[in-house]
Amino acid sequence: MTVEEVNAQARKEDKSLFKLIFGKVALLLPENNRLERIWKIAQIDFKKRYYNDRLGLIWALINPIFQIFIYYFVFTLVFKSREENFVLFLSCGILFWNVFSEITSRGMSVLRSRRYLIENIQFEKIDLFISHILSGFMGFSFNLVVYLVVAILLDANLNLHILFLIPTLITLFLLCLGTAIILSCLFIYFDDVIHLWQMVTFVGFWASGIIYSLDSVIERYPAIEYINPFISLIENARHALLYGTTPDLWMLLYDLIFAVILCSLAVLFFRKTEHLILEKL
Amino acid sequence: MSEQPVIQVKNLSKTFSVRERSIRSMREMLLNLHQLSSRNHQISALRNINFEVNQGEIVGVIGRNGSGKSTLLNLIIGSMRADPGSTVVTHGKIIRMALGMGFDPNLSARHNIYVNGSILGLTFKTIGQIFWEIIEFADLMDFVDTPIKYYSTGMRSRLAFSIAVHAEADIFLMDEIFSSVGDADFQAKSKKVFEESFLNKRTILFVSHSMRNIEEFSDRVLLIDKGDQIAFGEPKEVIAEYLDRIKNKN
Repeated sequence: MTVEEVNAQARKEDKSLFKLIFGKVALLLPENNRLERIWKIAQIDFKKRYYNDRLGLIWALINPIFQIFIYYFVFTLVFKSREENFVLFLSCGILFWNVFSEITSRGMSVLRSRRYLIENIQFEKIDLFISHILSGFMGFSFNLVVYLVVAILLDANLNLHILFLIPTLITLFLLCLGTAIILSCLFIYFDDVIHLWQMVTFVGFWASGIIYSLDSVIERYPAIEYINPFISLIENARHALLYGTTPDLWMLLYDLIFAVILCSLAVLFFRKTEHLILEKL
Repeated sequence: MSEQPVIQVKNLSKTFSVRERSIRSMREMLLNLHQLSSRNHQISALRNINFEVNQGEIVGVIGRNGSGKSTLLNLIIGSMRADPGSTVVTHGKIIRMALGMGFDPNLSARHNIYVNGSILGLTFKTIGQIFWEIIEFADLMDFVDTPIKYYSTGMRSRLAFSIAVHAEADIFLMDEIFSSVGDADFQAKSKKVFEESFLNKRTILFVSHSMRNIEEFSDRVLLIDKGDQIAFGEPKEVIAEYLDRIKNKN
């Protein structure tokens, strides 16, 4: 590629759909150096992920749609699921779970891939994680918009209860942040955390009531709802995005507290071990 | 000029503990549980370093390869933690100017300037204002939107130098800046900045093997040899001591 071509491509990227939607957000932020930086790094991270090829942002959609299609096919034709509006039931679960599993597994390399910054300039390293989660949520928000369009077409019961999505999203954000920090620290020490985490997310996928409702299991063993916050998190997302009913408020609160505690522990852990970890980098 | 120390280093020591077999995975750790605590090598990289750098001062660090100069910079910027009992106090924002600095090779100069500038404490508004100054100083007008990976080494270091100069960092740590940056024209430009930044009360700590640069720019010089502080003081004397040592060893 000649210099002109590279420049032209870079300019084209800057005029992308992304800029249309997210370009203005930066103007809304207060003039705060730290917020700006977090936003900028998130933005760049997102662009790097989706604009290195022609399909770009479409990739953020293809993957979940493909997954939903497969599970839908299997669970209606083979297993005969009795859920009403099964496509939306499934989409809620998969979208919310995917954000978590994707952000955390990519989050492992946050420290390693930003080594070039960490080594040469002093700054708050937690910001890197916040940016990372934010960039994951940017893709997620595209998916949510597509979900909402489909939900309207398929007659989901969308009403003001959708506001309950806000605490759910905050919980999800904190869960991602806490997990990403811990994993990323472990990853510096142990290369095989990747494999372990793949197994954990696999188990999590089948144990969070994404494809089927876990109601009957929870009746017998109520404890699992408290061990795995994703069961109620996804259920509450469905209340907001599909049934249009009030979610289980107690579990909503429990999940939020769970996430806050996890996140604080992770940050504390990071602060304590930061110097050791950065040396290992 | 206020002669207040911005870098204070007291009793600074750094010991690396290195495992004989480094453990890279959880599987290995489980297999080697019985020997986890044993077999640690202690490598002492720096021992009892004491010096102070005043605001606006330019201090050169010299020593042979492997004497601990880079470790010293790492300790000052905080990417490593010194042994217990050491004190490193710094005032102000520090940036280290190495060859690649904080650049992401896949991003254009534009994005890199924003990220780096922001980390150095500039708001986007300020960066927008000085953006073209930075580009112009680095002579990169035609390559603003080119990813850094297509840059030559010289272009990269020019950009790094330009950002650092325009950013509001108080303390600069440098690894061999003059010998590697740009052509004669750019070197002249950067030397001028170097001399002027003295007036701006910026503090510079630089590592160099070029005795000419050390003698020309530094107010004081620190000599380290195999982790020990040999001398700290007037450039001429310290450089003489250094050259003496090299001769005697060979």
